[in-house]
Amino acid sequence: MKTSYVIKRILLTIFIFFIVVTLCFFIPRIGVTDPASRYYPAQSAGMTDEVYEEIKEDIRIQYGLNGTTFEQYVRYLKQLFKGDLGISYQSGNPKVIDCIAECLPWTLVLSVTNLLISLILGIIIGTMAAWKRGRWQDKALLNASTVTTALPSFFIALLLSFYLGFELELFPAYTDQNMVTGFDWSWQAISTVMYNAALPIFSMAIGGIVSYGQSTRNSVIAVSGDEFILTAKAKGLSNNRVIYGHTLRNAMLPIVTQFGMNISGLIGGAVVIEKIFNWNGMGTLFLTANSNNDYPLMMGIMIFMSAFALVANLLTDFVYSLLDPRVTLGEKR
Amino acid sequence: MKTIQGQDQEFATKILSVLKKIGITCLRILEGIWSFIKKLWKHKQGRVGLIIVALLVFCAVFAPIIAPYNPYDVTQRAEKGLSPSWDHLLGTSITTGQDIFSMLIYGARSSLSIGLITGLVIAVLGSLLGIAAGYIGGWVDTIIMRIVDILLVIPTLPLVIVMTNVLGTSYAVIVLVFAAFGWTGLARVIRSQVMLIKNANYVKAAELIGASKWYIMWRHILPAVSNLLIMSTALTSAGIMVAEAGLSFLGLGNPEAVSWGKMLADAQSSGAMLFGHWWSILAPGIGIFLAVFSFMRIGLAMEEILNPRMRKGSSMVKVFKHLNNKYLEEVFASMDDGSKLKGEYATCSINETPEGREMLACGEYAPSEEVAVTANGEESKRKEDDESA
Amino acid sequence: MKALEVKNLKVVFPTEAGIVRAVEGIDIEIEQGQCAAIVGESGCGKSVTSLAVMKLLSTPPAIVRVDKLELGGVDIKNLNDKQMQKVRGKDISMVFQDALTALNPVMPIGKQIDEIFLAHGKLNFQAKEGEENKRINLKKEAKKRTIEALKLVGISDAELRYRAYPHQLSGGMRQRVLIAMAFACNPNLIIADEPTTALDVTIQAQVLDILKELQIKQKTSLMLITHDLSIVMSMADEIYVMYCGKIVERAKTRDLFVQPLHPYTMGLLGSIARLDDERGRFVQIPLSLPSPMRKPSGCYFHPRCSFATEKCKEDMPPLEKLDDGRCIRCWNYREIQNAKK
Repeated sequence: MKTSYVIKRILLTIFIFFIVVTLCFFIPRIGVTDPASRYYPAQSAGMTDEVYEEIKEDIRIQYGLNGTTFEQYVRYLKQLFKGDLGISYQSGNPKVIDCIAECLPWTLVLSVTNLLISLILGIIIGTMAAWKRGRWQDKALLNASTVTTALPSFFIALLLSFYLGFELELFPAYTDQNMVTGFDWSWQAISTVMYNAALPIFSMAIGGIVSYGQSTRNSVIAVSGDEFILTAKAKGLSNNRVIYGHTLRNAMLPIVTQFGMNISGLIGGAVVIEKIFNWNGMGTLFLTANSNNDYPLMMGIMIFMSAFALVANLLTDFVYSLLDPRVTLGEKR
Repeated sequence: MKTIQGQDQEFATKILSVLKKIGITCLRILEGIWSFIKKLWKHKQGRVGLIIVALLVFCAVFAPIIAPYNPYDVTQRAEKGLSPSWDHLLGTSITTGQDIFSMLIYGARSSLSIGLITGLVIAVLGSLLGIAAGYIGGWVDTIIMRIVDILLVIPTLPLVIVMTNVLGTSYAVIVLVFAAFGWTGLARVIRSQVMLIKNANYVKAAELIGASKWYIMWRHILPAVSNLLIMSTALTSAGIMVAEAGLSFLGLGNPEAVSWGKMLADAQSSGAMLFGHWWSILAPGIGIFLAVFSFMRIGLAMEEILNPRMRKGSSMVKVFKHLNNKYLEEVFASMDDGSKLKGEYATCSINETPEGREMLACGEYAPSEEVAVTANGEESKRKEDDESA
Repeated sequence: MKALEVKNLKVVFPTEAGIVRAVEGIDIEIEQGQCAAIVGESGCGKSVTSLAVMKLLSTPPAIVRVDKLELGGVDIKNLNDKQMQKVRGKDISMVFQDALTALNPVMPIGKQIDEIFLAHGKLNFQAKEGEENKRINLKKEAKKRTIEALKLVGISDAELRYRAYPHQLSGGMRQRVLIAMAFACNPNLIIADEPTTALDVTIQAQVLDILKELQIKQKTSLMLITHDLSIVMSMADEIYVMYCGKIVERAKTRDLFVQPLHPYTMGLLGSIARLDDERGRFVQIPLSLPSPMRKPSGCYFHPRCSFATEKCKEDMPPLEKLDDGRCIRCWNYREIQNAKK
């Protein structure tokens, strides 16, 4: 029963992945008759049309754009099946997978740190606000959430980089590119990264902390109104035992869902922030690929992000079913 | 001749009846909107949202009258990078010399129009698909939910970037692209709500007496989800406005239009920070903030009106201040058998509000600092109240 | 010695809409080993009374005043929350109405009973067990006792059920778990708040049997809170009839059923079916319970009372004490009795 559901779920995930790959392949090609045309050299005066066609065909083969779109699609799928995302059009023609591997850690530095900070501080603050319900701590969190939910993170980032970066010069407003090229795991290199990452992480984490805080608060308050909390108190348990053993344990369930959703957006969520701070991550890579019409790189990044999100969703569901015995996998939510 | 006249008359009455129907529907929709606005107006947060939205809409509609300069007019440009002055309230932009205050007002047009139109398209799309999935069920449900699954997995912003790259950056394309990827959340919410209503007895009763599916969808299910729909539309519109600002900040919005996101991008790329021109960053940012903020207030107010249990408890404090110690003693004393009881004395001035009755029905009593009388009759905080009273 | 003695308990809830007077000065006395029932319609303040006795009402919002609150002769009126934690579960415990919501859904039921022993039984355990490795021994001992407690309430294969989650058990089973939980530390007094309302009639009887059996076996006092008079008949020694936050009649069970004095009690009794019934139809009390914020003047029951006089509309009758400990709150009970004869 349970294993069959797991298998079904994994098959469904693969099916969705296949559809996503198809979409990622065809969407950038809408309305483009010959994507390789921008790489053709000008037809010189003495060249016959036939020779020119041959040159064009060579270029198409070089970029993997020969044949009909459907043939290209089949070829791409075959490649993908072997784990090959193709070759980027960037100068030097690096492999797409290498480009991603180069930029991914830098994005993860930002997003994972941000997520962890948001989660931990958010839960602490939210629990405190729920505990002090109606007092100033709670009201402060409520007011903060009304403001930060309406503030786009890139505006916070701009303000921070203006004030802390340019006016006070506490943190670098632009990333020092030597940080990327000269990274060697030395203590100094790591501290440079932290120093450079402070502003981008902080500007993302403000919203994250408040949002986790608010949902923890609401969840804790909802759970503490449940009758089993009264039972726990009637048993004569200490306050700590009631809070940690009963209230928080149940209140964390919606937080797990939120965390799962945030994990699936871990890679693609910082495009604008990366642009503001000139951070050499996946977002910047994607923007460059987009402006260069670098199809393999664009598709590669999108497919990679989707695959990541799919796996994250799958894991969240499984973890949730472990945490909440009422959820039996296989039943429709 | 007579028959033709008869046909004419028949035709005329038919048209009249159709017109009547359309008129009644329009009236009903207007009435719905009006009652919705009245409901929001009673809610404190909703009122704040409504006022700001009204202000922004006013700015957007009458932009040419309010704004001192026309940012689209090349001849009305001043020196580049001016500081704020009486001529240029918020200075001029560094790249083009356009008046920032005027741009701010004109910017409301693109932000609001994209937010509202996309919000409406999403509302229609999301509710149709959500109701179809929830009410019809079966393979329709499966297909729609699979599409939702797929769209939720693909990273939205990169996909939108690609689409605008391919299709261009006109308003229509931006609205379409956002709508194509934004309906999933709404459809999910509506679907689960519809599945609840579908099993309600009144819907079953309507099915039993032979009402058609379309009739039930139109007369029972749509009204039942309409409040939820308005709420989510307000919230999605807010989200779309953030996304649109982000897109034009990345330089992927409509390049000809004046928009807040583009103003931010121009300010950043032209080095406004280096020159210390904080106003050129703050102004568009506050524009975005106000627009998003107001829509969110409306959405959240709606959520609280729909679901009084969500109430944050802050509104209680004010009421409890009336509850002074003397009054409380009176209440306690009145319970003793000897003292005479007057009817209905125990009610405060606000007792007949619908919210009050709802609160009682849910058994919801939000705690407050003001009342802190413990079991053995000790008084802690109340004394301060008495002194101030 | 009295298991519970409450004097002049008053509870109000200030709300946005006005002050709700939930409990208006009630007295309860339960003798050791006896079962007292508090009977009334839903919304009359029964549950609030029970929570107030446990001191589990959160203050704020509730405001509680009581002149005397003694548990087995020990004054608990002035105990703070920390001190109450030692009393709850050990000297006084509670069986809640709906076992599905009253049990933590993500914790195995065994663990939930363990917690009581871990919170209260530490001293006993240490005397029995050796000094080394206290923590593990504590847990083992708690588990052993939990399984005993589960067996006591008639749960078969208790070792297996120990690991079960609440949603995996049937309704009757869950209620048994709650009862096992309440009797775990062998408390002086158990408050059962509508213990069988959420169950089927057949299961109700089983659960009540277990409750009664354990009560007698362990010589525990029981405060039974219910709206169902048919349960009370077999369980209780003494009955308090509550209406709108006030006690309107207090009598020994037999007396009450044989000769109800208050018109409200008569109405309640009129609405249960009996085997020796000769009436064609049930008598019902007209109208419904007034809102706790808009209680009528005078006797709260007068709008629904067929014997009401002008005096009833103006003055609240006192709780009159008759001989043999019986109490009645009615101006006209003598006239009504005479008329009946």
